[in-house]
Amino acid sequence: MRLHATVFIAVVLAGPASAEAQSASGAQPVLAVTARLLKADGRTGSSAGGDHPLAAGKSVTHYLHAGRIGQDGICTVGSSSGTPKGLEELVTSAAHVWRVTVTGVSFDSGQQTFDLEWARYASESGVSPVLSRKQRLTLAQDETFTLDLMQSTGVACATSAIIIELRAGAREDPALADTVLQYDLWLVRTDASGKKETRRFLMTAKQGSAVPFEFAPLRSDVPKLKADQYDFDVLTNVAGQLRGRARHDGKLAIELVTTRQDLLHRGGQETSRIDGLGRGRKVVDAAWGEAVEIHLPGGSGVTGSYASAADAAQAKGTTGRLSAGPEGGRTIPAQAVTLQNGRVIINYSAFFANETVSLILRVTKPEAESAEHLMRR
Amino acid sequence: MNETSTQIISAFVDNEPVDPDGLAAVLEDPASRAMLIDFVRLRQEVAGPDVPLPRSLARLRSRQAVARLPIVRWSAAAALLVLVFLAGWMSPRPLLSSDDTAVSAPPQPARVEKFVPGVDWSFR
Repeated sequence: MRLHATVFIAVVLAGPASAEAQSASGAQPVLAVTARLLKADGRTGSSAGGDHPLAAGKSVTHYLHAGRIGQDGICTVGSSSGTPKGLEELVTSAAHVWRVTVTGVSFDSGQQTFDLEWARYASESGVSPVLSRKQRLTLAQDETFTLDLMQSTGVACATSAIIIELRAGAREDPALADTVLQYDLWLVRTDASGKKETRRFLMTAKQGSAVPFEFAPLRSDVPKLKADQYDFDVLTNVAGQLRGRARHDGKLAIELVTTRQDLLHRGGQETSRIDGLGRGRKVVDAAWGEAVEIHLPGGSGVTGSYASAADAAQAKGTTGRLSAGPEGGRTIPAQAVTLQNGRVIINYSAFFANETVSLILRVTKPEAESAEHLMRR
Repeated sequence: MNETSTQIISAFVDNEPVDPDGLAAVLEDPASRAMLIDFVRLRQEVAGPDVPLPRSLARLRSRQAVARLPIVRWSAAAALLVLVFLAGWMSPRPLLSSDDTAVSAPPQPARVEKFVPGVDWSFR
């Protein structure tokens, strides 16, 4: 059988595009619906689909099609932007049809919430769906959600599966799309005496662009409770992503997604990669040049590791994070650092009780920053 | 030519005292004469024009070479400076200026916000 690529895509927009709501930044949420073929050797084959603005309360319906009746599996893929066809007509020619309807619920600076209703149809069962789902989804910008993966049973072609997925995006307001934002982000740790330890991150990016950041870890010593104890410390890693947008009211909406991970660390090697990980997302409204401090919650849970080489040799204790609260008959110690059965136990909430870790964010226009430098000189 | 010949020629080129008769005997050997010329050239290459050769050999340095070398060097240095300047001009400029690096304290925040566990912060 010769491989011909044909996928039929029909997009039916229910609801006038002129009614699309605009966010304060003018950014328009966009949702892409895509059918993608996977080859048996792992490569990605052809794909097809369409992306469309999403507005609260408005529905958009996409029809995706793959294969032809009589074809041995999903051998054909392609796209057509011709006249939309009804479901009844599509199932008489395509082997598989997906009907995907999304209804916008809300959009807040990089994150969109919508109701999803989809169904898969097969030519042999006509307009009766062979599979269907209905759910409310929230996707961050650039995030992809796979709603269906159908294996291809055919042997006559190299397609192993077809994937139907949604991808959230945004279309910037042309009036603000070329705005450049300079992010001045500080990581600040303040101990009980008020002493500060800082890290700094500077980056410039265009309106709506994601700016990933990652600070060098903050290091905290772990006291020695026995003579032969390893040299432990706790590393606090803070990373994340910024995405700022200038708004029509002259202010800024800055989406901050950040993680804080506290890791017990011994002599140049991490004892675990799964220690206390916290994650948060916040949209900060700020004026140009306004500095905003955002406190990060302290670590959570408990971690433990062999206290010494002798303890490790006797196979006492474990490495890795223990859950917060009593587990397996053990009681989580209230103290920050304890020694139990050959293990050093760190209670993160107690360990970090006397310090705060926060981010300080200030966004400026690069031109203004340059002018400031000139004035300082 | 032997090791002694090499030492005598080397001492002569380095402006050290040598026995004239010994030097004369050594220079009767064509290989030794070739070595002398090589040493002189090597010395010119390494030491440059500012280090004087022994008076007896100074005339071996051509007037043209003496006059051209500094010009070539200054031209090369100038070209190098231009290249460095252009490379710096065209490459992406770091955001940290000298003033930025001097900033050791974060800006004073106008307000403080908090991530709240269970609301906009979760633990794994």
